[in-house]
Amino acid sequence: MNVETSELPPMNWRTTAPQDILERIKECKIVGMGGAGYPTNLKIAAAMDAKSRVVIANGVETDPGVTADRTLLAHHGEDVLEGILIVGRILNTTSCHLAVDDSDLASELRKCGQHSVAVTPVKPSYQIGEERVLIRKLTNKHIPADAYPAQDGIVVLNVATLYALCKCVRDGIAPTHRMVTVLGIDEWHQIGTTVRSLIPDIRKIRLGSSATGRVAEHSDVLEATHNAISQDHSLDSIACIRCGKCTAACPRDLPVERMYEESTRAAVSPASLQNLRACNECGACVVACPSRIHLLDHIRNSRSHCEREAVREENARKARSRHQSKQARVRHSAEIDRAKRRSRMQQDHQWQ
Amino acid sequence: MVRVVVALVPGLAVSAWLLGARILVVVFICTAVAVATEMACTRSFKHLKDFSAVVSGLLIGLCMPPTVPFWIAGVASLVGVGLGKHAFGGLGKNLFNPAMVGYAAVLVSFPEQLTHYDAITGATALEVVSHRGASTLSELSGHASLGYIGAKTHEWINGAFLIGGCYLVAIRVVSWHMPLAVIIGIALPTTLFYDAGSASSWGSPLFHCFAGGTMLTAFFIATDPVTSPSNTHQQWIYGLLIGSITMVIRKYGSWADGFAFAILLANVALPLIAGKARPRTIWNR
Repeated sequence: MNVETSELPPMNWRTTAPQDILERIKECKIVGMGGAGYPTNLKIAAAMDAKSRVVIANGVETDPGVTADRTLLAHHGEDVLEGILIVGRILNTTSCHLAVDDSDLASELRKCGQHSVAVTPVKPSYQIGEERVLIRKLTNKHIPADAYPAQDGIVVLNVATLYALCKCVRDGIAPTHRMVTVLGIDEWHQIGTTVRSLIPDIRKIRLGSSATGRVAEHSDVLEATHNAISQDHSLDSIACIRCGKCTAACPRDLPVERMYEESTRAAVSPASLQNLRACNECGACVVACPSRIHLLDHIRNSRSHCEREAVREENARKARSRHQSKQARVRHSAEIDRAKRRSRMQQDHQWQ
Repeated sequence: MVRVVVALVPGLAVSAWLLGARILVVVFICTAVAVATEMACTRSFKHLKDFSAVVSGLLIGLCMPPTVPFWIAGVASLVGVGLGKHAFGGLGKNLFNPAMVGYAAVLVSFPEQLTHYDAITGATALEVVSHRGASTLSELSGHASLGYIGAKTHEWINGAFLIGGCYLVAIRVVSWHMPLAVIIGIALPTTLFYDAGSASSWGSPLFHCFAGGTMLTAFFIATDPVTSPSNTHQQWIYGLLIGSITMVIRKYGSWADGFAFAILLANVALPLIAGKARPRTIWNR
């Protein structure tokens, strides 16, 4: 990895105050590289006030065909482990976990000598890479859908984030590159590279895994949150045969089949809107579909359509209430005018 | 759906062996007309790759008696794929099983040609059992149309479809619930009314499982993903409904075998079944 020389000085994080380390993380603009892109300094700061604090490094990859995090751990495991310790120092906790889905890799990482980090191999099953599922597995805590784990003092960070965090704190190097699985090959690529310079035929790829990624557009660039560039398998999809495998596959028990049907008719019921919001875009339905329909595309389209509609309806409601109150005002002032005129006319009449 | 075609091969081979090679020609005509209809309705070759037309054509052909005139077989496929599927908007939008629409249409239009099933005896085993008058089942046991456990020749064909169906279940193209529900739906009423084979008996459960189109219905027709429910509770209700309606038609109806009408009636009842056993979501409760 060739990285441009930094302007920031190296930092001995074991002796630096936590606030200064956080300031450095903020300065280097470290964001969650697992997919959400949430600023890491805010996430850590949110967890600082909690009673018990836990750091979980998420090295579990369950998206089909994505191996970037695994390769990163195999080649730069020490840096990731040091990143975990840095976050542990900021939060003043010794409860640090690293979850990986490969027991060989786990034993390799244990040899690195960072004994204060518990390296836990988890069984690679679909969805285990999802934040809340992983927390439940490691700490047996249930985080409700409308709460964030950081509020409970649980900081879950992707291993790529921790690598970037370690580099920026220890060496003063802001992240400019990331490990990306490009059609099955793990490579370092500069963030901001146009995707079409990596894959010329832009119409057949997705940014992210083939299950959860979105279709690439001509102007797309590689972002910090993109862990893979994959092939689009939904190009030769056939009609939905209502087999219900998507509904059976959904880990959140959402009626995916009905949601898909409603999205094709552009008629979404209020109950489905709730379901659309509950979807965490894991892509299990996409993998399950025998017709190779990219259901997630439809769910996302449907959701954004619904949200636009909701905004429009809210605006219309506001406009209507404005209009009505104006009408009332006009009516009221007309009433007053009429009353005045009437009284004036009565007075005039008295004079004559 | 290619694997469904593969699973139909043993049944087709045994049919050709026991009923004569003419059934192969009938099946070929049905499949060819189904594919041609699909192409004519969609005006493209693109939709052939899902193999749904081929499966519909094969199923219609396998329902036909070997003596059927070729043009009737062609009409069945034309009606099945044209009216049963594409009139509703194509694959995934049809309310009725296309194969059964085609078969039922010719069954009610040309009953003479469609019920001459057994060329040797002139009557199927199901008709013999159904219209046997006052004789008991043991008196019937030597009848030429009856085999060891089911109908002669048809017990072997049913066995072949059972093997093909087990292959489909093993590779998880269909779930085991639906075929089992259909078979239970047939076996349960027959067990209840068997009464050791008296004159009013319905016939033994084993006989009904290996007569007519039982195994073809259970594994290949009832499991059509488009017109059947997708969740397990609903599949049980749907399968039991098909099995029991088939049995009621076999016993009291004027047709020898009633699976085509049972499937169509169950398709009509599908919204009712889906409304009763609606899947619950954990995020909405």
